[in-house]
Amino acid sequence: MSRNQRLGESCYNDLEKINAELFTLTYGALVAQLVRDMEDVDKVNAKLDEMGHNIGLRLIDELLAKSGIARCGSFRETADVVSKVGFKMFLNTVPNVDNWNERGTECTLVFDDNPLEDFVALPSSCAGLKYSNVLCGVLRGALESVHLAVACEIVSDALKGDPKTEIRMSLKHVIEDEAGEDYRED
Amino acid sequence: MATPSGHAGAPPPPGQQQEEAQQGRSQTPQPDMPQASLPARPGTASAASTSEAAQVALGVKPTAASQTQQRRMLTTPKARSGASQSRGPMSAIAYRMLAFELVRICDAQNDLGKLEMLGFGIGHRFVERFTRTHAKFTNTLEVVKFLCKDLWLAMFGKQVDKLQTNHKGVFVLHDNKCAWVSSVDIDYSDEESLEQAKKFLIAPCGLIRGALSNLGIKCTVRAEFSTLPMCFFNIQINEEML
Repeated sequence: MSRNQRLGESCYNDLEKINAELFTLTYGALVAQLVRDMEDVDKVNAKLDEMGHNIGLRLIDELLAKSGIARCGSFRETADVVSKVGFKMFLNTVPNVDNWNERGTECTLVFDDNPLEDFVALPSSCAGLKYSNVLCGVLRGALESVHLAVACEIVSDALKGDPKTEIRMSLKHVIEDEAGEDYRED
Repeated sequence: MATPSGHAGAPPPPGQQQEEAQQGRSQTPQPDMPQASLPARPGTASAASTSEAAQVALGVKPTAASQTQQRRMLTTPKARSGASQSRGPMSAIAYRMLAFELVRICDAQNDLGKLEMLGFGIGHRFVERFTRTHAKFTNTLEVVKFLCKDLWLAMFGKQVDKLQTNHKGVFVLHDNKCAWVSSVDIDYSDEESLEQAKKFLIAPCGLIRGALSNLGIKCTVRAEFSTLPMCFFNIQINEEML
């Protein structure tokens, strides 16, 4: 077991728990409500992403505080921490990190098992809905807080007949520390 | 508030003797009902008087469940993979963040009733799967105790800490560390923060109402708190269809 795997396990064990089905049902209720409120599926996708972003901004603090993880030296390391520690401790699932590009700035998170999608069937009217889009938002928000601008997209969706849900994560650039005028030293 | 009298020796309900653990306290005076409370749903009775509330012994074991035990309690069978694989519980903090977003959405639309309905649906559906193989319930008290012990345990890994009833259709659930609000920290003197905090308890009220409705009981649920994360759920039974 690698160090991150062990870290993920121990963080997961220490956290206060809640029933997974409750989680799934709550997320389902949320998505269903959004679909009812905004008839346009693209708006729902955007809203899920926005929600995820808000959650990610706060979730990263939890992760850093609970795991005590040090700064990552490369995006590969970041992806490893995200999947083995982040996803493990919060969602009790570890996606595989796959399909790296040459420069090591893009990868795919492959979910053998996405807890959000339990018992979910998409009706034909929601063909364009990215059900797990909140995860993309969470990744984006969380990594933004550690100065990594990433773009995430669901490239494969188990709810639409694909074998597994997959999220493509690409590092766009490192966010420079932009201190305000007052803080800059002349 | 009048102290309940003469209940220290109340006989335990039949069939529960073997589970009863002495909670080891004399009848404590009821705390003053907390000030902050959600508005009652339209058409409901006024605040329940707990001056006659009897302590219904739940047989709560005082020792905290160990981690592995807790995880077993919260495990549910996975949907897609074989039934032999079960899905362990997820982190409560992520859940609270999700619930917060839910509150935020309903708040933005100024429709907190929607939040309650969402909670209702969740509770209703959860009970559906959870009680699939359960024997039929025979009375209301049994249903409420099931809610407090089995359901709460399955959902949050702990039982409700105290259950009170006045045997006239009102139940009060005390949860010392309500999972929905255990990371909320507010300034109790600030009216606005109190208002905001109350919103977090709307969905759990709906959840309880939904769960009970699927078990044959129509009720009204209100939540109150004085110091988070301790809160009280006040259940007023309207109709039994057992």
